[in-house]
Amino acid sequence: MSPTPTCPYAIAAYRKQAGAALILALVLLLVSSVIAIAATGQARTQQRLAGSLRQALLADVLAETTLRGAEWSLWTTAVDTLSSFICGDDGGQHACYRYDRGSPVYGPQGVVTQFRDGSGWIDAGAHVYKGPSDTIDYTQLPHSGKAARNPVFIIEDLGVEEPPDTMGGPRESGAHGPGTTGPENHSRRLYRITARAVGTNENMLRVLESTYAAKTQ
Amino acid sequence: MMWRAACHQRGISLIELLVAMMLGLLVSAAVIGVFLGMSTHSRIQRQLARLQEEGRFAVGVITQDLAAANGQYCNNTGGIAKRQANGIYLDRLRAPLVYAVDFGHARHWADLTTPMGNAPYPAAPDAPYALPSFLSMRGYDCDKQGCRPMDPNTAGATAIPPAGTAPGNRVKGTDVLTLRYVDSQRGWVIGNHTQIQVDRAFPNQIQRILLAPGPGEPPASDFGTGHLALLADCSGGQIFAVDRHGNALLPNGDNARPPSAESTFAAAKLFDFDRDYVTVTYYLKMVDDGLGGRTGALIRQVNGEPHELIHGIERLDFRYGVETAQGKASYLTAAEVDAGTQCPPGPARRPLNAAGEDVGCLWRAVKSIQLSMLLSGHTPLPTLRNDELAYAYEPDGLPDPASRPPDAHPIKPSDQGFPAPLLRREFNVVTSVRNFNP
Repeated sequence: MSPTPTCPYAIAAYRKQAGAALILALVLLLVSSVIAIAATGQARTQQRLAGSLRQALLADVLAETTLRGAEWSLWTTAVDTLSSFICGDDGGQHACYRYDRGSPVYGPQGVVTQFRDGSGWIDAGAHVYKGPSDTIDYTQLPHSGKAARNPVFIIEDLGVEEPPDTMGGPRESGAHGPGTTGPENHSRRLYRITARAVGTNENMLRVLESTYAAKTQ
Repeated sequence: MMWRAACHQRGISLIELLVAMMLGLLVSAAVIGVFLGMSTHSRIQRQLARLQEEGRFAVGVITQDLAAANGQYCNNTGGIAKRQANGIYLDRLRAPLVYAVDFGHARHWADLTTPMGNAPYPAAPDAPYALPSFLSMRGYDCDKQGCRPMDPNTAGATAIPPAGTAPGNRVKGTDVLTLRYVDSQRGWVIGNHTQIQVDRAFPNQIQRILLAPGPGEPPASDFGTGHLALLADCSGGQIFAVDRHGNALLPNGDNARPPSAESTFAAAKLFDFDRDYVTVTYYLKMVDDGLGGRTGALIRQVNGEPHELIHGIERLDFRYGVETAQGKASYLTAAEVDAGTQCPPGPARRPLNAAGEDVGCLWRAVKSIQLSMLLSGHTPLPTLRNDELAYAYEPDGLPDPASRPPDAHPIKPSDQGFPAPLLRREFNVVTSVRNFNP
């Protein structure tokens, strides 16, 4: 019996090639994954930037809505001849504070000073806004429009509206609200509303302020 | 012999080699093609991403300023609502009263091209008057030839460079907007610390204001020498000339009448008018892009001091949404706003010119501002195809809003001194100005 012919070199060569192919494939895979990850990284950054812009807009719109809501409650109170808006040193109705520089709420650590000038989320002494009928929970809205927190506002009663330079000529007065009786009616007061709102991410904070003149009883 | 025969298989013939090389070449060509395509694509993507990033940033900064335009401290609320002929109730505008004689001149203003008394704008009356509307905001509508209603580069008065294609010039064919508002974060609150004193003999006049900074307020020495004072509360404001002696501000003789002390102030605050009535001007400047070419930079100039916001911006246009006394709303150019006379009721005691007109009154009746920008990638890409080079730009006023090649636009990049093979994208945003009341 003659020995079966074999080729030891050939077998060795096949073995070597198999190993090289695997390594080559791995190297190629590595290179393509690095390229792919780099490409998605840029897209991810872009998506985050666009997302933060959307968050800012959401917080903006929510703060604006809150301002409008507070203005609306001032106006409706002015329309209703039987009710009046009660403001006090401690917040009163709707978190309305009487403007008084000497009052503790206007001190450096006072509620109003902190709410208007402080950084981060502040809701101490403020009124939570839940829509005109007080039934909308902005943290439970469907889809992606929900906020991390319900917006809050405070109102400051700044006093009677009295434009300067009143010598001569009829006095100007704000007349926002029906049933006013003309320029002689001095029962108009100025209110300053400050609203705070956040987007879906609570680090995206917006603080807006508006002044509103309304009739009081 | 058998052993040798088996080993013949490890060699390759010439044909096999040629076929293998051919296949290898084909595969490499395909791979190189894909790679080149990917690299071009990634360069385009990177430029687009950068362009959008800068566009978003610029839109964010500008819209904040636009929303604050014409803002007074706490007294934007109108007065009595009057029934107009068409049945709409409109309030009268409110504006601070000017007592200072030397007021409407470049000394107290940054970027002022329309000093008082410069026809057709009225001269300062002798008696106190309301802050004129034509000073509160000012736009310039520019094309290749020049700007209307006037050139913003007036000798010595503004820090806005002339239009041209050299670095440092203003970019040709781009609008300029100057807007102003009171920075309510600054100033001194009247009450606990800072006090107003009156003389018993003249209880209606301010004798002096004692500056005593409360927590977070600037020191009294921050009040600039020769600056005007703006004393504002939520009902109105007054601007008057003062001399500062240490911590005391004394109204001086440069006022038409001594400023009045009110019996009640609603949350009053005192401002340094020259500094705290902030002037912000937006324009585009030609800059070197660092690669031998030129690009546009968006400049936000605050009180005459320029700050570069972004690079790679080529066009800037503003349109102003106004509502006339008839209740009609329309978007106007700067020249149309300046020429408009159909204004809602203006503030009491506003200065009128010789013809009895309140020129430029619409500048305070602007209810919304439309901002358009054209941004470009920074680095020219010669490989871009025609459809990638094409862009649309709405303020061009072309009837068909489709994208078109750079040379088909009324203001071509080559007119402005920019290279053609760049990616360009349009940004549009409308901001409402809530400080106009009514």
